[in-house]
Amino acid sequence: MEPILEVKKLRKSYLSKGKPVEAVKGIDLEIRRGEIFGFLGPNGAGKTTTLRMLSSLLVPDGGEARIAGYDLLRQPEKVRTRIGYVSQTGGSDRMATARENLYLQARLYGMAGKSARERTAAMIMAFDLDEIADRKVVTYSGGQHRRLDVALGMVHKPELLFLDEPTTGLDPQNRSRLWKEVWRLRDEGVTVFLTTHYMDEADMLSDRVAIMDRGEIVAEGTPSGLKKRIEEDTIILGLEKNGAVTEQAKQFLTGLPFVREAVQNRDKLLLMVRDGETRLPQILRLLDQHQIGLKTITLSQPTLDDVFMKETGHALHDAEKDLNR
Amino acid sequence: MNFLTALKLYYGRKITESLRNPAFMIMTAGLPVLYLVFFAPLLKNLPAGPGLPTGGVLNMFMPGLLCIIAFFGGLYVGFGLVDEIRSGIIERFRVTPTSRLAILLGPVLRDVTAMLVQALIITLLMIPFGFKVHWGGLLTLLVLMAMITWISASFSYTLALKLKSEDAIAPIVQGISWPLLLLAGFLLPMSLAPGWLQVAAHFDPLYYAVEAGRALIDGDFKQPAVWKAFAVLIPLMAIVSLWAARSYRKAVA
Ligand SMILES: Nc1ncnc2c1ncn2[C@@H]1O[C@H](COP(=O)(O)OP(=O)(O)O)[C@@H](O)[C@H]1O
Ligand SMILES: [Mg+2]
Repeated sequence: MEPILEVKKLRKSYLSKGKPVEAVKGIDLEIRRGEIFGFLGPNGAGKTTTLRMLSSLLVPDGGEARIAGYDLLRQPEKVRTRIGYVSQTGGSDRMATARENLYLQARLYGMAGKSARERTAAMIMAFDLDEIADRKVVTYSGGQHRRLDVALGMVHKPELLFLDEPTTGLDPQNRSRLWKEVWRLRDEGVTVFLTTHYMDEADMLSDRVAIMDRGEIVAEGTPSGLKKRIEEDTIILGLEKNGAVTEQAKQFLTGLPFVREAVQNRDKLLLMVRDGETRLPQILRLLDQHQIGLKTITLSQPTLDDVFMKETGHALHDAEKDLNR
Repeated sequence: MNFLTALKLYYGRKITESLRNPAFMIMTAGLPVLYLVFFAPLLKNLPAGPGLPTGGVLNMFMPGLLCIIAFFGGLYVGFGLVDEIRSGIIERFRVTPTSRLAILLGPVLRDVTAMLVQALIITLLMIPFGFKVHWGGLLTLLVLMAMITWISASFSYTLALKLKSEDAIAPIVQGISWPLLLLAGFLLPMSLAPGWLQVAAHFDPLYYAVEAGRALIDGDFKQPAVWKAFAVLIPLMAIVSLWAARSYRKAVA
């Protein structure tokens, strides 16, 4: 089946204080019908710029894109009726009610009065807005506000929905609630393309992920596939305070064939281990034999953070700090 | 979607918003009353003097006053748009399959409507103070005023769309408003001014509107000032509208 979105060599630079900033440096993307595609990257990576180009808000400097069977640059009107776009800020009218917002949106997508009213009522039910539907949006909580934003993007039953950082600023409870909404949309057959700078969110929420950094896609695949590329797990041993013993432990652990690297930090010992799960009992036995006292032990499997680290050479959150400086 | 349907929807949204906003309604209806209370009493005691028309003094001041209302009715509207850009409303509209020109013109037509309401209120209030209305002339003047508001509002919105910040728009808008107003001779006719000032006035579109207004208010359609005003404002309106339409089509809102 033809992918719902196919992007080739898409690029965009801005002029910032007279200097060109390459926000998106010629990226290729392919999204299949019915999947949740997560776009992970630190602030400033170029995620919003990409989404704005794909939703016809911003003219690319180069490259091409086919969306839902139409050429984005030549037939933007065709594309617009088939996509929904929810920006980072949402875009609901705060001085109007949810019902008025949804009704106007339905009309703007060409529905006549009666069908627009019916669709509005259906969206209010589907997004659990009925209690607040006739209150002004200014009075909404963050979670209610976000649900309305997503509902606005879905009024016209788009085939592909773009969500730009849908959970940024939400508390954990509302975050998981929004995840459920996104899964529900996928179950209804909608393809969802969302951006996030939360590693765990990209991992949990998406069927496939692209990792973006400084305008480039550095890795792409299923979350588990990407993590498999990082071959080592991390084991952190918290040892009884005794410098000499820690040094001794480090000595013989480094000698083990499956330990690729051992790093000591005071009484903590960090091991990079292939197949950590199965090696853990062995390591415990060895420590016991050498009579080295152990206080804590942690095994962590690779995360998308590690993937990011491996592909870019810097940590996801450092990348943000770099840009905020 | 059909352009007119979209325009109606965007216009309707702004009208509803205005009707619900008490501050907007008080400003719209209150401003004419304010002018009346603070300004009309002064005119009563003004003696006829050299350069001043012999007819009703109000008939000389009204066109200038109406032109200020029309000009200011559009000039500052961009500030409201900055807020809408920030909240993402404009971006949301721009991804719908509606005309981007309608997204601009809906609010412009609201501004024109509000201005016409003000103009009518002030006209009616001035009648008891001796203002003699020539209805045909007044109607033509209202058309000129609608054009002025259209131009200043489109200009202001487009500036907001391009600069996206109140702080960036403010000096530009303020910088042009007073020179244009003073050069238009909105208080006293420019015929009282020295030669160089009269030359400068000819570069001010508002000047033509005020001059035409002074003829139209007495129903004097034959004066060249009338067609001159249209000859200046129609092309200006076309240029500003084209610039605005282009910016709305391409803008990074
Ligand atoms: N309108 C703009 N003018 C100049 N630079 C911009 C503009 N928008 C974004 N940028 C720059 O482009 C880069 C990518 O931004 P963006 O696409 O917003 O990233 P993200 O959404 O991943 O945080 C950043 O360096 C940002 O500063
Ligand atoms: Mg962003």
